[in-house]
Amino acid sequence: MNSAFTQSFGSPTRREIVDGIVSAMTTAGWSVISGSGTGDVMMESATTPASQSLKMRARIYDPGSGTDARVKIRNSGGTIVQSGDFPLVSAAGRVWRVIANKYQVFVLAPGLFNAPCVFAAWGVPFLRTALEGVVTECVWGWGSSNSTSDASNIRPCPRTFMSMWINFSTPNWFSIINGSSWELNNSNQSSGNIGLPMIFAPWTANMQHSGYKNSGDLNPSSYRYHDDTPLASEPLLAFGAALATEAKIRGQLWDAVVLSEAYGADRTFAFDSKTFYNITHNNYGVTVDTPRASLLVMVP
Amino acid sequence: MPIQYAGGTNVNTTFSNSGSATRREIVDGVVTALTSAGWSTISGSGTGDVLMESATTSQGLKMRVRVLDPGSGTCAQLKVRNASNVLAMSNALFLRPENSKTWRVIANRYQAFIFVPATSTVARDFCGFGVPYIPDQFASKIYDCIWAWGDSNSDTDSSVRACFRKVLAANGNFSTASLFFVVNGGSWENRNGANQANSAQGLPSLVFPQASAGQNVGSTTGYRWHNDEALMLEPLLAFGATSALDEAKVRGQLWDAVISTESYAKDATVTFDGLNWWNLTDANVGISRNTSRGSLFVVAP
Repeated sequence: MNSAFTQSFGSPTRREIVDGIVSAMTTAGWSVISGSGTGDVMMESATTPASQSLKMRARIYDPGSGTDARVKIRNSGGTIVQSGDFPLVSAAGRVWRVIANKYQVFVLAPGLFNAPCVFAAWGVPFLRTALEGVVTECVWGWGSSNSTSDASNIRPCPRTFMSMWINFSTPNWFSIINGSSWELNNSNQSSGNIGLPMIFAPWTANMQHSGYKNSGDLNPSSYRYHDDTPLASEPLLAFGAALATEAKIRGQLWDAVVLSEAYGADRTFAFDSKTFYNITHNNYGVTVDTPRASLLVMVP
Repeated sequence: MPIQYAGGTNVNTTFSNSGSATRREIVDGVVTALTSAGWSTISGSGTGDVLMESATTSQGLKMRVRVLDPGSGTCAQLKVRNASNVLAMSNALFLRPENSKTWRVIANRYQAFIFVPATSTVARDFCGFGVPYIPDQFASKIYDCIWAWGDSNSDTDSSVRACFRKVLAANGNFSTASLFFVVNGGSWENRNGANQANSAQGLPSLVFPQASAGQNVGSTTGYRWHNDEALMLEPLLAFGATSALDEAKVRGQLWDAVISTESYAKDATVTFDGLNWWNLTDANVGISRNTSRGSLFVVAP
């Protein structure tokens, strides 16, 4: 599913965002649990294949006041619920794009890379065979802003980087793994936060030569093949069972691929007989901290 | 890409220096092992100066290595060159004889590793060289590709430099060893510890999918699956084409090899894919914001 909706120019509302996302998710295969036709809708993903059996719920809602529509995710039983939200700010004439499948959703405002509350993504991942029956519950959610009042530029998320690397501004994250959940949306990061999420990307074992050089001189290496084509890898998602516990690979994003090159966001690429949409904007990486890479998701 | 198996004969053999510990013993042991692995002798058979040639890969790559006792000095030497003898290493890979030292050679018809088991802190005890597997997408664009990497940079060098025995990449935070590379008519080498600066972006490294956060990566987080299994990945080798200051690009993949994102003691062996594998890299837990955690395993029957 790849759909766009535009908020009204005259009187944009939070409800427009709710309706647009709910409509797209329904088309992608999510089901409405409650609140159909209202500004507060609970939706549930499809269940991943029987050997994995993962599913989740997302509440898409207009809080009744403020500037943002909100997404609040939870497990399907409703026993583990995100305390915060992923806010999406309403604006006149704003175009929103929803790229979704029955297990996973990306919501973004095309062309906006340094603005608050313009990106959120959530889903249940694909599990490799060895983790079937071992990972029995897994939900992830990642936003670009840490609160509805967050006026800062975009926080580290797949719109900008492949990870919430340390010493960066406070992002927005919620995850569940086999009954353990945590979220980060209102505290500063520290070197002890080894559970922060990251998407695996092709990277040289020599981090000194990833991304930009120290002085900002664009001089990276070991990120592409001899013929200048980028490396491609599966988008493995790693995060801790808690903020300060070891990040481990829990699963893989659906309908997605990581390329070891930087591209302008919102471009599309054709390969593998499909069309892929680049989520990540001009991610040249940061020397020693995070690699040059882009997350692409399949669109029809 | 999957693991690339060289086919032919995989060799995992040892030889030892005698009490006299001569350079010639190393030459003879290496030549015997390479011959068993499918390398052919071009000249010098039965002498202390033997020129050997690899088999030719299905992509048309091959190389030569001169294995010699130089007649003086401390070490036996291996001098890598291309098959046409136009591009040749002026320095060498150095292997130091010692009383009763046991050497191990793990080789196939395109690639070889020579090292002393149970040590990783003694210089002039390790080297590797070969022609890589070239991915199909640019196999037609590479007609000559050779890599060679030792643990030291001179006959008397007593320091273990960055090599696969210690890490999966060379960078400015590790003093660089003897290196030699050939790509399509161009070559370069590193000698005497030169080009150690971080600006040396052409230094070799393995490239693989890994955690996208340099802080703490490998050493404490982001290197294994939920069930604590390590990732097993293709060992793609990147290096500059013309110099250590030239952008390193992935030129190819090591044969009969795999990277594990876990740290293991040197010389640990495992079995998978119906084969026995030998860990070359000693206890490489990685260094935060510097080099990755991981181990290079090679097929060792």
